[in-house]
Parts: sequence; structure tokens; C-alpha cells
Amino acid sequence: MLMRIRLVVTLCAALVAGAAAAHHSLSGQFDTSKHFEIDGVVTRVNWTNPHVYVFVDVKDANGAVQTYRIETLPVAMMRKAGLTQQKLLGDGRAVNITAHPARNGDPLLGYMLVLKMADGQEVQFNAVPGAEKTE
Amino acid sequence: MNIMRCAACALLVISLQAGAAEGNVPRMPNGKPDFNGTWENGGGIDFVRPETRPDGSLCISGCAPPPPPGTLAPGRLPPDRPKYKPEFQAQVKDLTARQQRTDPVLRCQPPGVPRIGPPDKIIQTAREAVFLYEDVSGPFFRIVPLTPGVKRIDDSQSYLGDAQGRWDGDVLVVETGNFNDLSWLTDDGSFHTTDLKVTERLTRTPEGIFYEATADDPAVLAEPWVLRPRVLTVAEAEMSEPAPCADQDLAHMQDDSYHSNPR
Repeated sequence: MLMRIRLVVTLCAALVAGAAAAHHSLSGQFDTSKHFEIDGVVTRVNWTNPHVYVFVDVKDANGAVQTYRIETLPVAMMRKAGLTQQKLLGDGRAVNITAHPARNGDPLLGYMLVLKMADGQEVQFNAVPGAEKTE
Repeated sequence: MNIMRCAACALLVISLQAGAAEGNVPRMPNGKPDFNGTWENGGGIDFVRPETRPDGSLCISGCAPPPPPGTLAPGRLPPDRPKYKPEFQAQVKDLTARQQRTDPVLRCQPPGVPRIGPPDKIIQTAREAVFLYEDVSGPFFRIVPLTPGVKRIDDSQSYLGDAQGRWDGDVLVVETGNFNDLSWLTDDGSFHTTDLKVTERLTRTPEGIFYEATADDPAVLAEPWVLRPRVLTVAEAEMSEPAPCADQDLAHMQDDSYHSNPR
């Protein structure tokens, strides 16, 4: 019976499917046409809702450290993908992050698109736009 | 056209529901259907389908090209929204347009009922059922007495209201009222009054639960809102403590862009 119900619910979804604009506040916070890359060490992960934040220490050419704040997905989506706070925190080795820049002009704020971990694991959190990089 | 399609869907669902309680469903010692368990209800993120690519990388979102204009991505469902009386439609439209500033959930407030969705876990005895929720706004519980006369000391209006359960044959019916008016029914400015009444019907099937809900607020709604039914299946993992809800986004929001909060 459950299988029959599942089938009908799916069928109903298909029947009533129509034009539905899917908006998200991502574009209200970040320039989704651009992206930048950083190499640094994850020093903290705020395992919070509605969105997780990853803090990354990046050394500039003079050796000075700047801490980037990278917003990413909600915890439920992380868990569904098998990611944990500890996994994102890593082991202190450098990671590479591709992110959208913030619209408010804060150069140290971004939205995670791709995380390349030190162990070689690569995770895509959102599609990387085809637009040119900001830097 | 969509109305006719929805009506056809409703008839199909109702006809199936009529037979949903048939069969060998788990039962309690008192003979009532057994709803105990941790249940997978999609959590509103059915559209998230992580995949491991041939090169070993993991993709969580944006894995496939965007769907053609006017179509939905796999797993995305069309909006399921209540209908308001004409005199309140402008208010809904205004709240929706200012959602970033007006949606209680974006400030980590409790989602209310029915926005919170089906329970993630049910603990059931002969006297009561306890619904547990792992929600983006935090952990929540609802106590559903199955016998009359159980009252809480503080009967103030609340986000999740006062629930009372009863049996309609093998269907567990949960009727809830005494809500405050601080939550929305959905993420589209769908405010409600303290007159809101929500009726949930849970039908145990051999493999899961068929969940239906109707929200009625005659003061503002044009008609009772019958939500899209949900199918709950046995969860593969135990529910987790929700991460704390601590908004850090709104401070750098640059406009009133719409933020969906599906459940």
C-alpha cells in the first residue's frame, strides 16, 4: 500500500508541477556572478543554523594573517551529504576554497562553492559561475 | 488547470488513503496502530541529492545544469500555499515582499504548526504520543494526549499550541489550537490569527506513515488549507540534536531577496 501511496504522491507532484520561481537569499548577500579563491587553514567552524560558517586563516604576501569568514549550507544539508563539523575543520593543513564575494564589500566574507581538503577530497557546495574571477 | 489537477490528485490520494490502514500494520498492546519510531520525512530538503562523481569528488548542490525556465529541478515541488480572503491578500503580498525582515523563522523563531512539518520521531504510549522535531530553528516537542483531561499548567497561547489526539478507527487524529499569532503557515507571508486550528491525520502503513494536515483559520483564510500529503518512512539513522540557530546572515543582506525555507 505504501508503494501505491508513494507512486500517487509522486504522480500528483508531477501533475501539479508548473512554473515556480525558485529564489534564494544567496543573491541578496553575494555576487553570484563572480568567485574568488583562497588557500588557508580552517581554524573554526560555526556549526550553526540557518547556515554553517567556516573561518579560514590566509597569509598574504607579507606573511600577515587575515581571517576569512565563509558562509555555507545549513547543517541538515551537511549531514545529508555526510559532512561533519570535524570533517570541515580538517587537520590543520591548508585547504583551497572557491567562494562568491560578498555584496556588502567585505573582502573577507564569502559563500562557499568548492572546498578542496588537504587529503585531496573535493566538495562542491554550489555551482561555480562561469564569470571571471574577482581577482 | 492546476486546480483541476489538484482536485484529481486529492481524489486519488483519498481513495488510496481509505485503504492505507488495511494490512498488517504494527500495533500496540492495546490494539492501536504503533507509530513509535524515527521517521524520514524529507525535512524539506528532498531536492538535495548529494552525489559522488567518478573522480571521487562530492557534489551537494548545483550538480546538474539548472532546469529549463518554467520547470522544476528534480526533487523540487511546486509551492503549496493557503488561500486568503481577498481583503488579506495584499497583506500577504507585502509580508512576502519584506520576507527578509518579517519571516520569524529567519530570526530563528519557532516555525509553528503546520510549518514545522511531520515529526521526526514519535514516542507513543496508550495515554499519549510525543512528537519530536529536529528543526532548523532548534529542537521542538509536542505532547499529544490520547486521553481527555490532560492539561498543562501554563495554558498561554504558544507557537506549537495545545494538541489533543483521538482515534478515528486506525487513524491517529491530532487537533491543535491555542496558537499565538507569531508564526507563519509557510515562508510566503502566510500569517495567521490565534483562531488557527490544525488537524493532522496519521495513518500507519506496513512500511511507514501517511501524514495529512489541514489548517483552518476562518478569520483570514478563504478556505481550509489542505496541505500536500507526506509519506514518512523508517529512518536509517537516529535523529540528531539540531545545531543551534544563530543567524549570521541578515547583517550582510543587501536587499529583500526571497529566501525559501522548505520543510
